[in-house]
Amino acid sequence: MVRDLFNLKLMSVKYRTALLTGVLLIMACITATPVFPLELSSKRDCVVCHIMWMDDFRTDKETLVEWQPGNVLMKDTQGVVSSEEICYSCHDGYVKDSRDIVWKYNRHPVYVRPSKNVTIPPELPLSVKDELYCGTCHSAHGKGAAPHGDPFGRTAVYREVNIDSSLCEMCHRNEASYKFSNGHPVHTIAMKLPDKLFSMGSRKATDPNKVICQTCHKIHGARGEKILIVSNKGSELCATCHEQQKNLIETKHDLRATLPEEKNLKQQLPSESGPCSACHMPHNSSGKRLWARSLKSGNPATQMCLTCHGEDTTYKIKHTGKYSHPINIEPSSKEKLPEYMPLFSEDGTKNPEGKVQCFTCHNVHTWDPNFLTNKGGKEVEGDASNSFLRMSNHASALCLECHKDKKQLITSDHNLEVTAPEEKNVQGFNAPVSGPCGVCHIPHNAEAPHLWSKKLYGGNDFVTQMCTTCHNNKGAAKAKLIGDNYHPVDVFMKKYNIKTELPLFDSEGNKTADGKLVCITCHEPHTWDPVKPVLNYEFKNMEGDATNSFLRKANFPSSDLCKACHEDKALVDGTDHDLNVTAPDAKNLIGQPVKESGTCGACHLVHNAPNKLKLWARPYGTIAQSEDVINSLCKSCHSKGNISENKIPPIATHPEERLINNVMRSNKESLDYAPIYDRRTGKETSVGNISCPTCHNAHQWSPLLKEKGNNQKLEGNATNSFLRNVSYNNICIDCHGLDALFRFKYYHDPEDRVEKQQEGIRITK
Amino acid sequence: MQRIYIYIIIAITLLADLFPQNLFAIDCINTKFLFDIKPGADQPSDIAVAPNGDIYLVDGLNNRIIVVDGNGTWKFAFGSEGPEKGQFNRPLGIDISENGNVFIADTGNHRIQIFDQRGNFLNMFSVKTNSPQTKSDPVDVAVSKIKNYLYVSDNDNHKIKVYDQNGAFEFEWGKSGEGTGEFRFPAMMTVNQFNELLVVDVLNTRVQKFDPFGNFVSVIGEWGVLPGRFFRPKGVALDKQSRVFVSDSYTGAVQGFTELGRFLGVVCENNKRKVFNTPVGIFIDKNNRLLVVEMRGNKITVLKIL
Repeated sequence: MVRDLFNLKLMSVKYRTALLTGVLLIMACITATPVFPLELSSKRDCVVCHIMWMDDFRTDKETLVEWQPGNVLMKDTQGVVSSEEICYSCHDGYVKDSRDIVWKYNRHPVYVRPSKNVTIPPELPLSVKDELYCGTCHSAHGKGAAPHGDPFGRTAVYREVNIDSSLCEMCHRNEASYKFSNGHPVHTIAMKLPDKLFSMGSRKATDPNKVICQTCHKIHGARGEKILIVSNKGSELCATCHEQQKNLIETKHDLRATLPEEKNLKQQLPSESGPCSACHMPHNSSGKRLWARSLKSGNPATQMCLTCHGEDTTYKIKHTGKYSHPINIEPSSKEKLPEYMPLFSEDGTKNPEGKVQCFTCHNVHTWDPNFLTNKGGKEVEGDASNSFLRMSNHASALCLECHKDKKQLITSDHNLEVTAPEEKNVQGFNAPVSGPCGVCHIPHNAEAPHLWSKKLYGGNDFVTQMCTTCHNNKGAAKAKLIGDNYHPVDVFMKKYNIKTELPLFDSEGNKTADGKLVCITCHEPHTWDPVKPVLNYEFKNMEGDATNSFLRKANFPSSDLCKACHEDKALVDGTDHDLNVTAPDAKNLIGQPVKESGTCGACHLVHNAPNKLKLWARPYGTIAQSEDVINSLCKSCHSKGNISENKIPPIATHPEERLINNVMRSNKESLDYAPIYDRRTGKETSVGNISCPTCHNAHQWSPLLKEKGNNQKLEGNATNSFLRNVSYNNICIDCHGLDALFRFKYYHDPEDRVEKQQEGIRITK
Repeated sequence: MQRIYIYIIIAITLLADLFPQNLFAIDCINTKFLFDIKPGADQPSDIAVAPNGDIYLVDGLNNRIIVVDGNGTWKFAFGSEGPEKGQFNRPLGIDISENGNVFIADTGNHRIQIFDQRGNFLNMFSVKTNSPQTKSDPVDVAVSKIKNYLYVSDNDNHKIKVYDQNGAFEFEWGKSGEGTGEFRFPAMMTVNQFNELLVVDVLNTRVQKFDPFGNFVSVIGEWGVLPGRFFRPKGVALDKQSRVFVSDSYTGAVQGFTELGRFLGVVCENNKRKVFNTPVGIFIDKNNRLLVVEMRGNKITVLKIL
C-alpha cells in the first residue's frame, strides 16, 4: 500500500504533479531556512516578553534583532525573555517607569555567581552560567506573580511570594536565622519604626513595625551601598531607628577619629564602615549586640567594652587599669536600681535580676547624659559629669544609686567637697569635680585596691593607709589624729581567741574572718551616725562622741561597739562602775562626760589617750611606792576627793608584800582566774603581788551573774561588789586555806586583820 | 511542460539555498552621522527643537530640562525635584509650540507645565482622570495649531486627552484595547502638517493616526521584528517629506514610513542599519537632521538624513 502510494505510474498526471510540487516545496522550506529548534509560536501577549517565539524569526528575512537560541522550554538555556533589555523595554517609563528604581541607583547584583553565604533553592533558577539573573527572582508565571499584585506577597512578576521579604530569605537563610548567625533581628517588633524610615524607601511589613530584610534593603533603586535604602557610610540608616545611639557621632567612641586605623571583622576601617558599623555589624557578627570585633567569652555587656579598654589590648586608648570597679557582681544595694541603670544576664541581655556590668553605669553612645550636644572630643578628658556615664555623677549621684549605704557620707566630715575642697585625687580632680566618692575612690585606674584614688601615706599597710592618707600630721585631716596612745590595731583577733561581729580585714582591706582589727573594724568611714541618718549636718568640723564619730555601732548608752570584742567588759553597763549611773557629770581627761565618752570612754580612750596603761582616760590615783601601778587606775575614783571617795577601803593592799604565783589561776576562761600584774608596767604577769584587780573585776558586778547592772547604785556584799570570784574560789585560799573563807571579809578592815600594819602602807579612813 | 515546471521549481529552490540570508536585503534610509550630544543626562526620554534651533532634552531622572544649542553646546538647564512650580517629578515628554512655549509632561506630578524658551515658568495644569482612585500618567504632549489644542497621552489610562494651551480640558478618547482608537500604553506623539495626530501605541506595536478631533484615520506598522514592524515603538517624528519615523527601543531601529503606512526603510549609515542604544524620543529639525535620544546611551545622536 505504501509502495503503491509512491508509485507514480499509478497516479494520474494531475495528482503526480501536485505531489511532486508539494514534496519540492517542503524540501525548499527545509533547505532554505535555518534549522530552528522546536518552539511554539505564541500569541501576541506571550511574545510581548517571549520575543524569540515570534514567527518573524522563522522566515528567511533579516530581522531587526538577532535570533538567539534558547528559551525557558529548552534545557540549559535561559532565553532572552528574562534579559535586562526585555525588562527595560517596558520599564523605561512608557509602560511603567522603573528607571530610577532599577537602573539609576544600586540594585541586587545580577550576572554574578551566588556567594558562598547564600543558598539558592531549586525554585529559584540560575542562568546557564550559574549566575543570578532577573529571572532568578522574577517570572510572570511564578507563584508570586499576580497580574496587579495583591496583599499576599505577590506582584506582577515575582517568581515566589514575597511576604515580609520571604523571597529574600529563600536564599539569604543565614541572615534570616539571625539568632544563629548573630545578625540584626528580623521578624521582630521592638519599637515603632519611624515614618522617616519609610519615606527613605523602606518597605512596610505586614505589621508596619516589624523588621524585615526590606526594612533596610531595597532590591532595586537602593541609594546606599549593599543595596541599603540610603547610604550608611555615616551610619545614617542605623541612626534613623537607633536615634539615641546617634549621639555617639563625634564623641571618642566615634572610631573614625579615635581609632581610624582599626578595622572591624569585615576588615573595614571606621571611615569605611561608618561610626556604627565600626562596632556593630548587621550580619554575621561575632556575638551579641552585633559585635563587629573579636569578642572574648564572658558577659557581652562587659566584654564589648574590654575589646578596646581591656588591659590586654593594644589599643592606645583608656584602659581600665589594675584596680577597676568589679563587674559581674550583684549590685551592692538590694533596692531596685532605676531603669536607666540596667543589670544584665549572662548573655548580656537586660535583666532586673542580673548583675552589674560596664553597661550598668556607662551608656557608650552618649558622652554627656545631660547635654547631648556636648560631644567631648578626642582630646577632652572626661569627668564625673560626662565620660559616657548613664547619668551625671555630680555629687556622686551615680555611685550612690547602688551604694546607698554610703550615702550618709554626704552629710559628714568625710564629704571632702565641704571639708577639704582643695583635696585632689590621683586624676588631679578636686572634690567638687570628682564628687564626694570620687575624691577617695575612682572606678577605673585606681591607685590601690578598693578603687583608692589617693596617693597612699602613713600606715603599715593599705588597709590602714586608707585612713592615714588624710589622718596624718600633713594630711587633710591633720586635726583628727589618734595620738600616741590608741587602741591596738593590726591585731589578729584569732590569736586572742576573740570572736567579733565587727569586720576584720586583711592588709588589702578585704573583709576576712581571719583578718585583723584595723581602723575600719570599728569605724565605717561613710556613716557619721550608725543609728540615725544625719540630715542637717553643719560641717563645723564637729567633735564626735560615742554615738557617732563614724563608729560602726553607737557606744552609748549601751557599750555596743566595745562589746563586739570585749563582751565581758561591757557588763559594766548599768553597774556602779558605769558612770552614767554613779557619776554622770564626771568628765574624763579630755573633758567628756559619760554621755559623750560612753561608758567605756569614761575610763578608756581609744584615741589620744593621755595614759598608756589601759588607755586610761582619768587621772591616775595616788599609790604607795611599793603598790602595784595597776591600782592607780582604781584609785582614779576610789580616792579622796574623787567620785568614789565613799568607796575607799581602809586597806587596799595585801598586808604583806608577798610574791604570789598564780600559774594555776592565769586562765582567763577559768572560774578561778585571778590575775597578777607587774608592779611597774601594770601588765599581767604570773608572779607578783595581789592588787585590786586580782580580786576585783571592775567590769562585772557579780561573779555569779554575767549580766549588766540594773542602773542603780548598789551596796555590795560578798557575792558581788565586783569580786572576781566567789569566796571559795578566791585566791586567798591558796595560802590561807579555808580560813580565807572567813578572813577575806575583813581583808580591807585593819581592825580585824591579824597582821600589823606594814610600813609604807597607808591606812586611809 | 510539466517537467519544465518541476525543473524551474527545483532551480529556484537551489538558488534560495545558495543565498539564504541575503536574498532579501534590508531597505535603508541612509543618513550621515554628524555628532553625539552628551549633556550629562540620566536616561533621557524626549527631545524637542525650539524655533531658534535650541535643543531641549528631558532629563527626567534628574528632574530637569537640558537646553543645548543646535551644535550640542550646553546652554542651560532648568527644573529641580519637587511639586512646586517649575519643579518636576520624573517628567518624560516635551513639545514646543511655534511661539516658543515649552510644554512638559511632568509625569510624576500628574500635570503639564509650560515654560518660555528661557525656562521661565508660565503656567501649569493638572491632568485629571475620571476616577479619584486613578492617577493620570501623562508621558507626552503634542502641540497642534487647530484650536491651540494640546494633546496629552495618558499612558496608564490608555487615553489621549485634549486641552487648550491654557490648560482647559476639551475632550478625550481612547481606552484599553487593541481596536482602532484603543490603546495599550500610548506614548509619544507628533502632529503632522494637516494637524493630524500620530500616537505611538506601545504594546499594540503600532502608530495610530487621528484627525484633530480624535477620529481614527489610519495605522502604521504591525508587531514583529522584521523591517517595517515594531516590538517596542516609542518615538515618532515627521520629516519635511511627511515621512514618519518611528523609534523602537528594543530593536534599536528607527524606521521610516509613508503616512499611509508603507514601509520605506530602516535608518542606515552607509547602507548598514544603524542600531541605536534604546532609541526613544526622536525629532527631525528644519535642517532635516534626525535627532535620536538614546535612553541608556545617555546621549542624543544627530544624523543628517540623506
